[in-house]
Amino acid sequence: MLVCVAALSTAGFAQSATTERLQRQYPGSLNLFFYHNTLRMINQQESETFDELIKDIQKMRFLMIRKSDLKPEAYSSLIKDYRAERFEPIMNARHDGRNFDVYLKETGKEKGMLVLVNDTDNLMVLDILGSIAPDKVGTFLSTLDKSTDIGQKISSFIK
Amino acid sequence: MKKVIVILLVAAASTASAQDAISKFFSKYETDESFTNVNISSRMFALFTKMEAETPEDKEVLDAISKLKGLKILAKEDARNSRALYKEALSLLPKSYEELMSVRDEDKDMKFLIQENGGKISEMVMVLGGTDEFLILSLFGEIDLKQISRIGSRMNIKGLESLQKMEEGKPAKSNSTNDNSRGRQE
Repeated sequence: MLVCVAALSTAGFAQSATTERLQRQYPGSLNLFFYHNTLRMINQQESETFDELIKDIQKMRFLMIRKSDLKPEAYSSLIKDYRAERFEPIMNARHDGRNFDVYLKETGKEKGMLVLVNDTDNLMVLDILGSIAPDKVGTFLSTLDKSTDIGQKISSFIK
Repeated sequence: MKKVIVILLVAAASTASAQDAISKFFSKYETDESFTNVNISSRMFALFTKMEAETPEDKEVLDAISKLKGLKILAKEDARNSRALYKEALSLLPKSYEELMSVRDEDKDMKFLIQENGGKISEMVMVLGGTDEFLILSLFGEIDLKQISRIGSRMNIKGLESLQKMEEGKPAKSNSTNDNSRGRQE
């Protein structure tokens, strides 16, 4: 009975199976879950812009893997797996050595968004249940980019 | 009849080569890490149809955005060769692209060019060259020129703010000589 309840609560997260698998493959990665209210707590400057960005995000899973730990074909294999889960590419960008790939999934009532940030040091996966408004995606990526190290910001927050 | 077919084939080939010329330019530099590179798919633009419009003007902009099929931006800051890139990009654009407007803004030169298909504007290309800045932007789909500057400000994508120069470059309704001097220049 307890096992069933635990399984149901995990299923309730409804983040993608590919992200789940990725985290299991790299157990040393930084792996965090944020509910909407937790994301609001990160907004320590109480920026209204940030609040607007996150208003339709129900949950977000943040995974950060060091590139030195990542297998050579891992990224292309990852994209293939996400696409098999019906994530569609909506935008990609490169700026200052960082690559951003944004994917969207809309199946019935379920909405998901995926942001992959790839640079020489890390691969970051933001697996979002919910969405970011299309006119805010550019601002969201810009916010991620301008943070000197978003992973460290999140790490310092949780210490 | 044969003559018509030949003319149509030539027209189709020249359209294809026009698109290829720009694609070649993008392909040449899109893997160069000194460039900022943005690509947006039609799927992203389609999302704008689901947004709520607060005003009738807002609805017009959202409708205009939803008809777009793609956007590509290639940009370089702190570029020593920005003028050379500007000339290279312009030299690759075939004559089928019609120049809509030229704008000079301080040290920056901008050209806006369009391509029509079936009486509608199917592509807009903007090329910008400054002292140390270069940008080329290709927007395609069904383009409403009246909304272009508002599309730029609505989408919040770096590089698109330059589209607002189209509005600034237009002659004002008044007879201001300042506005006329910022119009078409060679």
